[in-house]
Amino acid sequence: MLCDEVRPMLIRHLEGRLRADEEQCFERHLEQCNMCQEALEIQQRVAEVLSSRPVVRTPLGFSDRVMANLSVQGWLAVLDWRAWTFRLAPVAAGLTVVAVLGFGSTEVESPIELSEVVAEWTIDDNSVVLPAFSLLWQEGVTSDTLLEVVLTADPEDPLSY
Amino acid sequence: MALVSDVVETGYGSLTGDQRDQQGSCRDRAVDPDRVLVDQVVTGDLGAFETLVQRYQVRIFNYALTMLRDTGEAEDVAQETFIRAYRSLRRFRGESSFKTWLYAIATNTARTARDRRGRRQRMEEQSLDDYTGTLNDHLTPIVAPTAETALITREVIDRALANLSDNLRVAVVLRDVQGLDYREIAKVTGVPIGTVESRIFRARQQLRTLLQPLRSGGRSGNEPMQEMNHAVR
Repeated sequence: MLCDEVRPMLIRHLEGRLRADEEQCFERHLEQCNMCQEALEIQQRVAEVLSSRPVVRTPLGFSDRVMANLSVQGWLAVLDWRAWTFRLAPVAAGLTVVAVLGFGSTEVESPIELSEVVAEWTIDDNSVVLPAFSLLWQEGVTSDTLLEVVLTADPEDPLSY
Repeated sequence: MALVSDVVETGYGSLTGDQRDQQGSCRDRAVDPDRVLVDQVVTGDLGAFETLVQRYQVRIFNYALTMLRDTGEAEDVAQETFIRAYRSLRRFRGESSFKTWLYAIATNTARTARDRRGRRQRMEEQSLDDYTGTLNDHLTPIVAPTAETALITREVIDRALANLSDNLRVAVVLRDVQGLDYREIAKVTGVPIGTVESRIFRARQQLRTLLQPLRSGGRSGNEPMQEMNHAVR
């Protein structure tokens, strides 16, 4: 048996995992091979030295800090938007349905009639003082109303026709 | 750097390597002794997880220390290991023991920490030869194990291990320092047992010269100094 064939058996010999026939071959080779004897001795000695490595005690309060970190992690999970995205998905879907149904049942406000606008801004002499351009930012004013106001407004008004 | 008083004992118990192997093999074959606690944690028992932390904190912390050689980083890695384990515990399917699974997490976490540190800064390692000279001065009068000699022993071993490649270091630390059996190491590292054996063999060969400062042959340090100058040709 050659040294190259024996070397892989060294570890298994140390662990007592060689079969009986392998162990016999190994022992026969070892009796006549100084190199493999030395290799075996080195394996044993290094393993022995490494196993003598002094154990260092964990820093004081280590497990307490682990448990405290787990609690913090739990609170941080509350702030995790990805988790909330999944958890709140059904709620969001429900709100969407309610919103759609709710808007669907709401009556649309009727457009402002010209007469109402004129009445609101009319003074005693029945003259209209509302500048025509002020209707541009008022809600509910239809294009027809706006056109009518422009056409009938004071000639001094910049938006008058 | 740990205080001298932090070094309190040698080894993880009174078991020999073979006894540890037998125990480890039985553990995987039979029921994982941590399984009950793991199940309790999954059902929301935080106290059960604290028991697991207390059971493995010394092992995981020391494993991280041999990988990183920095007490602060080792504590961070150990903390992160347990936090990751807790978060992932629901996905733990029990195909390996909890211990093996925990070591796998610790290995990945330590590797990530090393990579992060490597990117941040290049460590200026004092050459081992220079350090060896200093250590020989310290080791000469050793007659009994003291806290100081224990500290030096640990430093020499950790420095020697730091000179190995990552794969060799992980394999030999898990076997000779942490006492896992070959099957467990194969599961932790995700390689075949034959590869584990080969890595451990090569690691020990490389370590024989690096550990030369520790010429004490026994665990207690009381045995006569023995040279480890046998070379593998």
